[in-house]
Amino acid sequence: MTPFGALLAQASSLDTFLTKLIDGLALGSIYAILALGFVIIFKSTQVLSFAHGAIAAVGAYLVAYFVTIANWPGRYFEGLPHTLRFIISALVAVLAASVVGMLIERIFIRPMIGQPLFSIAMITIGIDIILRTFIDDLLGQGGNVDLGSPWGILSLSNVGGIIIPHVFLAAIVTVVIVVVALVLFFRTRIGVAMRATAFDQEAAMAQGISAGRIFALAWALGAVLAAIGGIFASISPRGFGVTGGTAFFALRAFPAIIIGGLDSIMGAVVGGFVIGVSEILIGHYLAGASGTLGLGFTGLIPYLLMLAFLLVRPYGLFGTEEIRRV
Amino acid sequence: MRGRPLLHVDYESEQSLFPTMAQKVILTIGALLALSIPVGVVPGLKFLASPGWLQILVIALIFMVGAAGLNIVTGMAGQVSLGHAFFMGVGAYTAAAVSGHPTEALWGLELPMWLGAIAGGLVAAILGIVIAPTAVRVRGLYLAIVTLGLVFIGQHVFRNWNQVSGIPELGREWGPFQLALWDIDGPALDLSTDGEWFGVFLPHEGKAFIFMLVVAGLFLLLSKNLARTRIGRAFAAIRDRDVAAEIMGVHEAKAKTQAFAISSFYAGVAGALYATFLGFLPPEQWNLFLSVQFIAIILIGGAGTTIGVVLGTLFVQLLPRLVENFTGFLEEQIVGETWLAPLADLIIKTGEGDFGILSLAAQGPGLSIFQANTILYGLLIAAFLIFEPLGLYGIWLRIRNYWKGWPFTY
Amino acid sequence: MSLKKKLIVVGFVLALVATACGDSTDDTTTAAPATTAAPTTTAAPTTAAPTTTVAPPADDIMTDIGVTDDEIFVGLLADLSGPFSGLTVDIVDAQVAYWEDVVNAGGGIAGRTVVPVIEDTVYNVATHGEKYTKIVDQVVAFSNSTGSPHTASILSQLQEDNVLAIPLSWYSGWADPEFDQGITFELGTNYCLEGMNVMEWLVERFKADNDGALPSLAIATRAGDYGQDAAAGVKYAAQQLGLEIKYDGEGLIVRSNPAEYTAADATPVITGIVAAQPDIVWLTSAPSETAVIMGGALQGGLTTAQWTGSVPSYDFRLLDSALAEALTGLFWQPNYAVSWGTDVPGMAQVSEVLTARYPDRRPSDAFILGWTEARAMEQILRQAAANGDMTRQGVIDAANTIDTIVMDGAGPDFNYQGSPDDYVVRELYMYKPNVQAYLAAGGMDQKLEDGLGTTGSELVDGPFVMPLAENFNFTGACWTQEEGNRISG
Repeated sequence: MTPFGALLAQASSLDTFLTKLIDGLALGSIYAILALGFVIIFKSTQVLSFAHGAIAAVGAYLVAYFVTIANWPGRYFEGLPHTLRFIISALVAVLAASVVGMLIERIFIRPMIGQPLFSIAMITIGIDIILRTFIDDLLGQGGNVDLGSPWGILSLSNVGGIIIPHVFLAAIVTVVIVVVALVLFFRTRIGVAMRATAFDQEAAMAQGISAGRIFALAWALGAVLAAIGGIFASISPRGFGVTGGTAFFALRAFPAIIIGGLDSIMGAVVGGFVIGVSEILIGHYLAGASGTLGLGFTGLIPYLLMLAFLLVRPYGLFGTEEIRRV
Repeated sequence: MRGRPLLHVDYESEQSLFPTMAQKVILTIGALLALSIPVGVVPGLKFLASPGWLQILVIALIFMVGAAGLNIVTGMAGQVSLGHAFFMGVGAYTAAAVSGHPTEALWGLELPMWLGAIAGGLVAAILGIVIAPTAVRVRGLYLAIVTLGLVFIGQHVFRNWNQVSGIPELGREWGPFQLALWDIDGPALDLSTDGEWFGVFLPHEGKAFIFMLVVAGLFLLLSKNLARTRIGRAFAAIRDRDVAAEIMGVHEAKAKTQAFAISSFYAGVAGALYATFLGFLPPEQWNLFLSVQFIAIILIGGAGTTIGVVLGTLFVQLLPRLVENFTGFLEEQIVGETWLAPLADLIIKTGEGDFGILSLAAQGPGLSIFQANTILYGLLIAAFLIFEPLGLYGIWLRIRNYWKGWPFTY
Repeated sequence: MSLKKKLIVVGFVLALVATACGDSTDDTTTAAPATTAAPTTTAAPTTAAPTTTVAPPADDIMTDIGVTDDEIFVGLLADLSGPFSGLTVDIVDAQVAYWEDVVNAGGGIAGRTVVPVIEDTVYNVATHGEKYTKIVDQVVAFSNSTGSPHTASILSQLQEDNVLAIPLSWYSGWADPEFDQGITFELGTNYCLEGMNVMEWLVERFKADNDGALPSLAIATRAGDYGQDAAAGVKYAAQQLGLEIKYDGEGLIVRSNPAEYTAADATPVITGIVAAQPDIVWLTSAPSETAVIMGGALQGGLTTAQWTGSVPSYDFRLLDSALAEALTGLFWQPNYAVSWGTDVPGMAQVSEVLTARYPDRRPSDAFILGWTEARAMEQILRQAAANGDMTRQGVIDAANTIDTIVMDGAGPDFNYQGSPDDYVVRELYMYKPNVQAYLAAGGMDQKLEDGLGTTGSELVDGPFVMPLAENFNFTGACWTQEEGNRISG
């Protein structure tokens, strides 16, 4: 029973703390990106997508396919550095994932407009089961396909004792780009239309906005974000290649959207970082106490945080409280 | 006009469990048919009398108890719960501690199974009451995610509380699946050895089947009865519009707590029986997929109805084996080169380069039978929700209505 | 009230009708499952037949369940679509190839063809039990039962049905009659002896390279009969050799299984290993966990340690991943049987048969495991046939009395005679992954029809037994759930 003793003994090292903080921010970035996808889909279509993890795995698999299996379009740019070729392939894969998102919306979600929210959420569980099985089949016997990430396990910088793997920087930079792009997107005409639909669907349709297109767009956007999250979840050090477990990663982002509030973009980002940083820091400083707290307790931290937050704020930090009418 | 399902001439008939003669007759025939399964005398059902099928049927009956529990909280009271697997696990490990065999590393009191099952139900119910305040605070999809968290927390506890649940991935042994009043050495009703009952030879799975048929029947009747009590009506009021229910005088927090408690009791008993019947399970068994399975059962069967629970459980539990047998049948057609062979060849991938959706080799581009089953499962969940939100019960309603109005369309 | 009476009458009438219908049909058996090809009982066999050296005529062989006049049914309870399907599919396919293209093509056993009855258990205990019940009445023995908890879960049923099973698991308890009641017949060195053997081998090598200095050690394993059985062996070796264990992560690796929606975080283990800065790291994990932990430790700054671990911790497909270079440089890979492409007498036949049957498949070490399983079962069945008793009890007796199970170099020869200390297998092979050789041979694009190929493992030593394992008095399981580590000093 020395969890706090262990904490004090290790906290004295500032470098370790900063290293772990960056680690946590990087993990938080992945959670934030995944959570953003959840929230965008939820905000515009009122659907809580349990298929998010499966879409993330699809995205990661597409990257693996384009980079390592097909080497497309990288083969036309042999001169470029590997990092750039990887990013180009990743962009192609992410676009392909957005098509998957739109297809799901068109086939499964569109017929369900107006049905109870839980029924639609359950449909996404069905989709999740289907997609994950296909991915399992595609992964084949090894159950693992490498993404050919340019940020290998030994690609890191040591800044005055603080160890910063480059993949962490990539994740953090990506989340910044994603958030900025989203903010800009919501100011465009179509972004405004999306916000209007989310705010009041009927009023938006009365203004000539096609709700169907907005729904498709929301799912495409959600799938893009899921795929980006899936990529980072399946490259070192979070994972080594796409596996069945890649889909699971998104389930750990659920607590992020609950903490932030189901319908808050801001909340998703904050929630993601809260979960990521606390998971890494608590996991590190209480590592010595795993005998007391149990094997794999770090995986539990997001859920425990979520329960604690819910008891204090049932609609999250930034979520809108539901107005109940008879 | 007597005996119409929707025509009630007095309050008593509206309130009765089985209002029409036809329902009573169908129920009796169904019960008798079910009882005859392990004996294997009814022509169409003979194949079910093998130990392999009986085992699946016993598990289906146990699942019916669990599904009836989820139906109470989700179908009747409208509270979405993904935490059913957690409550089943609680029940199972309580039963393990009560009726399991103790060793140096494992707890066990070696008490009879029925005590374990009831204790499992009670402990699960108590935990349901403990969880309820959170469930009262959050609603709808938030509740779904909270209960999802419950499954993960449960998994963590089960994996680490080794005295109760054994080592991760290895698990522990439960007590015997026996009906003994008190003394564990002399069962009142021997369920775990093959033998004769009333002059009929039964494999032990057959005995377990008859025992579970009685238990499941009891639990289903109780849950059906619950719907017409004061508590059940409060559940329906909460489900349909909670604020309106409160205005009418239904205590929302109390009703939700009751729903969780009763549902968890069912789950606990089901978990205890499931684990005891299988005899040996790792702590990983109580996972999200199990919860999803129960949700699928009540959605496919038809949420809120008892007949839906029965139909849904049978459908979900028997489907994998049926698909497996069907592919086995198709394979025989190809091998035997019957007239069905070309059709079967389209579906089954027999070798490299052969077209087919299903691959019997479980690797390569074709789907294995297990994968096909899983995909079918996902598709069915989606298809039922899109095309028939009332589930199998809804299909039954349509058939009934068709014949009610026949030869007119309506 | 009258309604209720009517109902009861109707019920009885229906019951009578139902019974009458049942009686009128010709088939009245209920106990035998419909699918079973009714086994012919030529004699009521409960006692062991007298041992004869010459095989009696095929007709005189006693049989009960699973052996007919022209067929022998052997069951496989394998994980064909679960987390270990990568391994098990190859094992099962190699077994099928062996039974059909070697045994049956050569005339079968005692004039009977062997029919493998394969069921997919999805690596789920409940399904395992379900599939066991489904096929147990058809088969004479099980030549594969994938997984430790899964085989343990059917152990009492195996004993009740008195049927032999070869577990695909290397827990030391399978050799312990107290644990398995003599019903399971394991292949290869168990996790515990393997741990001793590998540690001593590696320590000798380390001492030779470092002027006799003793290496320090970090251990990280799964919980349960896989990881903790291995940890018991490793710790015994460490204690005997005087090694310092700088990090003890026994039972701390938590498995991720998407099928069960469990995901684990290896951070505590990685942190512990990196902080300890050991010379040798021992892992007992799954290949994906090996990748995460080794990758994480390298990233965390532990770049000098040598790595090794239990056989199932490594899979040659890791050479397709980003970790290939690190594995080539730092990892030692023990094996129970030879790896694909090793130059031993048995390899030519393995390669020839499998290439003819699966020309498009890539080489796999698991083929050899399946091959050895089927080979062991074949020899047991032949012995049973020679004894004139192919009942289930006869097969178990044959396994216990057979002189040598010959593997032609594909694995160590062994038998099950005498006490556990006599028959427990101690030999191991030591390999080293080599990504350059692997890629030069074609990497993941290799096909059997293109030639022998390689899985990238190069034989360094073997079969070898180090003194510690050689002299270890094996009396029972090294680790049990009840008592924990039973051999630590």
